[in-house]
Amino acid sequence: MRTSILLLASVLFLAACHKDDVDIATLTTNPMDADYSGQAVLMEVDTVHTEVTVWSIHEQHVTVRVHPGHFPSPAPYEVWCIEENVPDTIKGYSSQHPDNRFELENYQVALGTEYCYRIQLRVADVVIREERVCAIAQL
Amino acid sequence: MMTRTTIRKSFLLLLHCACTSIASAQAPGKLRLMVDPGAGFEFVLDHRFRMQQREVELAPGPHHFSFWAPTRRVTDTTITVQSGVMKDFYIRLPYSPEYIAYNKQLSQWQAKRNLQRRLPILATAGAGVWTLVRYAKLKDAKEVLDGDRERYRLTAVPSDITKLKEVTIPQHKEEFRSERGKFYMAAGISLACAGVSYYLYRRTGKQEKPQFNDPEKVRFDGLVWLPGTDGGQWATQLSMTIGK
Repeated sequence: MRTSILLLASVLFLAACHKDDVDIATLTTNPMDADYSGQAVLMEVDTVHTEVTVWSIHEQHVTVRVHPGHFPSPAPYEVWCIEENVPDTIKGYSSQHPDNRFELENYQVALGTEYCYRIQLRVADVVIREERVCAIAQL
Repeated sequence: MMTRTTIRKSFLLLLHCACTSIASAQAPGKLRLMVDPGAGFEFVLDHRFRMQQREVELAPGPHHFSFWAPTRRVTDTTITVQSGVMKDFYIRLPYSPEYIAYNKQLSQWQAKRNLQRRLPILATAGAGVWTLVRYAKLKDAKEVLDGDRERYRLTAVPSDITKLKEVTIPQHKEEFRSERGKFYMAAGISLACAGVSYYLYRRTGKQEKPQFNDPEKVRFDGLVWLPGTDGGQWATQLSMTIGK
């Protein structure tokens, strides 16, 4: 009889191990989550520089590096570069950049003018990361 | 091993047989006693000799026997022994009314005790099974939540994360809490049942079992001289009917 009572108490003890449920507020560890609180390791803006083409047109190049190794699991993604001054968007797809390095080109920039861009990392049409970068077009 | 008492009894019996044989000048006869119950019976021969053997050699003529065995009634009978003849005598000793009453009382006592012990134990066992079932369900609910947590960790699809955080996990959390509540209730009932069972088991353990004091044995003992270590005693009983 005492053994049965002890057995029941043990079951209760085991059940105590299951008392913790999921606290949604603490779910911020997935880099794809909008509430992600870790370091921004998925994407970084490498360089912004201006070049002159053979037709003497000035182009501003924004180089972005993506780190898909930090994704929770492999997924196709896109890098969008939205120019703020002119509503123009340049898109780059992961399938076209196996080295994960994107060079986004803004044609016909005026030297001495500052251009601002919103660089977005998108997965399944959702913005995962967004960074803003501004640079003056100069040679 | 023959004790002093047995030697004395055998000597008296032989003397008795010899005297009767000499008086009648006839060869003794033999009686083989087939008594139910087969073991433990005793008898008193001719109101004088208390014996336990299965065969007796007696002088021809009628002899009085009082048979008795534990839980049986004292049965008196007279057997006529024929000279030089071996005779089988069959008798079944009936149970004494006191033993029948005792048996009934004992059965009732055992039934009551069994009920007081088995019913709570059955209830405890049932509650225990129910608790285990609830525990299994709680474990399942916990595993579902763990699965959600793992899915959150691994998914690279933002819409999945949103769905997980806004719909799936809250729903599974609710189910988990519900299962936990049910489990605690089941476990509480099981513990209560176990406590009651333990208490009743202990309490019924202290209940006194009915004892059987064989009055027929007292009556049988009172029929003859009982030899003892300090010389023995004469046991008898006296009854008096008072009429108008």
